[in-house]
Amino acid sequence: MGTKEDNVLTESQLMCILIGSMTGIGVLSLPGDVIKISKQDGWISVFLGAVYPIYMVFIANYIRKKYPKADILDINKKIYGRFFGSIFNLIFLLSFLLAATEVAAGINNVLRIYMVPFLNRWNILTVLFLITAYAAYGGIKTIGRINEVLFYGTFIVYIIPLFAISKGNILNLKPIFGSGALNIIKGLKETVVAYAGIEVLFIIYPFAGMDINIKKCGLKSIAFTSTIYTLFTIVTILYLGIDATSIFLWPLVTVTESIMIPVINSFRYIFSSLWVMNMFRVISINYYTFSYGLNKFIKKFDRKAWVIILFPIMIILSTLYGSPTTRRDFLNMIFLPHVIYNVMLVTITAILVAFRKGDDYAKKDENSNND
Amino acid sequence: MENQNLLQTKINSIKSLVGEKNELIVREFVIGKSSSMDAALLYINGLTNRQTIDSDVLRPLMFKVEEDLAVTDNLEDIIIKKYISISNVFIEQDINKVALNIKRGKSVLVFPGTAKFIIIDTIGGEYRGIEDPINETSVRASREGFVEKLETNISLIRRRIKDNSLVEERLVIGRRTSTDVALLYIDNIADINIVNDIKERLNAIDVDGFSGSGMLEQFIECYPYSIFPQSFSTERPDIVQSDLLEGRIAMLVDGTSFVVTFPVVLFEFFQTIEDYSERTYLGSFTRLLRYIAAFIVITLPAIYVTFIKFNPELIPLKFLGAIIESRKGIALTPFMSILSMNLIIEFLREGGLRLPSKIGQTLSVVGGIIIGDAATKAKIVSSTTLLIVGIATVATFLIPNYEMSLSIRLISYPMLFLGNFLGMLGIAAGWFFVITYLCTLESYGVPYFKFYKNDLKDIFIREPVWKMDKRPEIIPNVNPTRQSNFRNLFRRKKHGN
Repeated sequence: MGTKEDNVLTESQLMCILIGSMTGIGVLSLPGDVIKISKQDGWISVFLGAVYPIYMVFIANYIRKKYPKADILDINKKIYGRFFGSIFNLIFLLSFLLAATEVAAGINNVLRIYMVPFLNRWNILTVLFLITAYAAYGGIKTIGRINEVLFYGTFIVYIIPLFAISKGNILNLKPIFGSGALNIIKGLKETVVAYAGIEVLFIIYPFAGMDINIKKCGLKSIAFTSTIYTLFTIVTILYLGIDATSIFLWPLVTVTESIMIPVINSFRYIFSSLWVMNMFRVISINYYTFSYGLNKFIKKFDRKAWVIILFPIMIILSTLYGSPTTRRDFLNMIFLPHVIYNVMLVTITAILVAFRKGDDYAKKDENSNND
Repeated sequence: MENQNLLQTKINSIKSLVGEKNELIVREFVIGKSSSMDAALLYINGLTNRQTIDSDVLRPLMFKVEEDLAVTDNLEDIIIKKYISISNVFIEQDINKVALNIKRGKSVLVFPGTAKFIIIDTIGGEYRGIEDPINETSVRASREGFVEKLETNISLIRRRIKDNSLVEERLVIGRRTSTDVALLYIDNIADINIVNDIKERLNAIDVDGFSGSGMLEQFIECYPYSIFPQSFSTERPDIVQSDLLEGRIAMLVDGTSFVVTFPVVLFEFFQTIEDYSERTYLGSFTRLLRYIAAFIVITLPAIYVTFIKFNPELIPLKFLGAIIESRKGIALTPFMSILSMNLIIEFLREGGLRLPSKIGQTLSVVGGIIIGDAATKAKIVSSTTLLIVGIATVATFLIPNYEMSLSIRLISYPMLFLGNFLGMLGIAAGWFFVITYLCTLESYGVPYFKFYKNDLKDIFIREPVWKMDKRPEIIPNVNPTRQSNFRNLFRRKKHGN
């Protein structure tokens, strides 16, 4: 009813999308990666990693003030010209393709070990992408609603691992700051990547109404994500200790195994099925964003057509990651440069936007906004 | 003689409009004792109340008229005002409308000299009286149910809502049936865009006819292939009342005792009228039970199959022994046995639906007890499987709306297949699909499945009724305030003194 297409996301939906986008598969392996470097102070690195998304939110908020109705893809084309703009956009968009496929590959690995060992990866990936493609096909309205429903509906996954805190040993966490400031900073390299996914904000902010404060929204979601990440890391260190943690591929799943409740033999099962639902949600956000961006890149196919075209591509790409360890090596190699690229791109764009004050495009936009 | 001819031509033209094959009764008579003015009364037998026609139309006109009406100018006025003792009488000039009125059971007075017709409301015929709505009984709520007569149904709602803004719009739909349809909404609550949208859709319908509101709503709904019901139909006036007060629009169809309300949201199907008359905690508890039941209907058989087939390590050891014991020597796989038992339940349900209640009891004894017992003894299914199927079936009955409970039962089949072939991944994927599907659905622009913070008061729990100050946000309305927080007054009084 009278809902404008650009007014489709509510504040809580935007927040849930951002949280969903950030808490990818990374969280299951995050404690292990960072503990290798920053030892028992890993949780401090995790907490400090939040500077990356906070910076991105501030930049997004600034760009939005100048161009409320245009996303970064449109702005890049205006600023760098059609050719360079498109190339920059494509590299920017690749992070969504990467995220969708790596999360799928990650779930594939986790599922085949913990949940459905009897299925081969093609079966899993086909099912996975079939339903996420369906969600992406539904558009941003659907994505917003699913994220909201699933965030609250599966909120318990964020709490389950925390129960293990009672079985932890406080000595595992000591001495605090014992690993030295340098190692904590080095650990940031791992943890910043875990917050990747915030970039989606640059594409979806035009869908939120002007009455929604995206800075507040973004900061809230970062606060939530960083709290969860930090708590998970602390719980893992408390329960497993730093030496044991580095042995496990997914330390967090091991933590959930410790929770025993009568009748329900292992909490791992409930945790992973709820977690899988959350991962579906992450993939569908990235799937949607990538198809939406590709449509701006090649207008010949509309967004829905792109969703269908991408379906087999996504499945095939996801199988290329190989074993959990090769996947992780590859991601470690590619994600950090990508994060740096993203930071630089949006920073330069924001600076250029600041200089182009009073430009025709911005004026037109402001006028239409005032109407 | 000339007059007689004129009268005949008029009668004939009406006859041809009503349809030559229709049994139109033409009662010719002479008005007044002394004058020689011809007139005719036209009606269709069976649709009219003949006693009224005899005593309130024909008798006064034939025997009570003393004056000579042939000389007056405004013949129709005088007749209506002085001689016809029926309340609803009016003059009509359009002969097409005259024919329509005759088909609806009204009688028409035709005079030779004028172009006007007098239409008299003599609608009669036998209708069912107002009874308990047997499909939606309640313990503590009104026992009135809608009937098949449109006027009675509207009166049932008007009796409950005396607001000036209650608007009633009439439409006629169906080329051959010309069924009367009424749209009811409260002008300064309901969103006019939705009203217009529904009206546009209804006006666009071009069909021979339809058998009731259930068919009519399928003509206009937005998602014709959806598994979930796209409109809420009820036989209870109290539910329609609260729906209208929330800003919804009610559609009443002549000849159907089911009133349909739009737009529809998922949670509506889990609310009953009793939730509001019970104690708050009790109401909230039953609400929660219903959602748990819906979850069990969809997931329990699938989870059971997954556990047995792929993840027996998750079943506690003590249970495992019992399950193995009960499954000894059973030929069918758990999946096949659940599927077959579920199908038998569907047979019983669908079979019992149309049986007279006395035979229905036999069916439930034979079906439930004998078949169930025999199936376990014949080693077709294990007793655990039967237990799971039984629980899922019983849980179906908790969903108050029959259409929704069937939809939810239907979802359990694909979920069972997913569980059998993809294990827990299948169930998670199935649920994600159901949620996504619900998120894509809309009913006249209103999201079918969306949470608003304020609406949570009345979704999974039922807050105290005096706290529901706002109408549900999900239904667009122009006046969001339902009531003021008057209970504050009580508190102030208590502490003030």
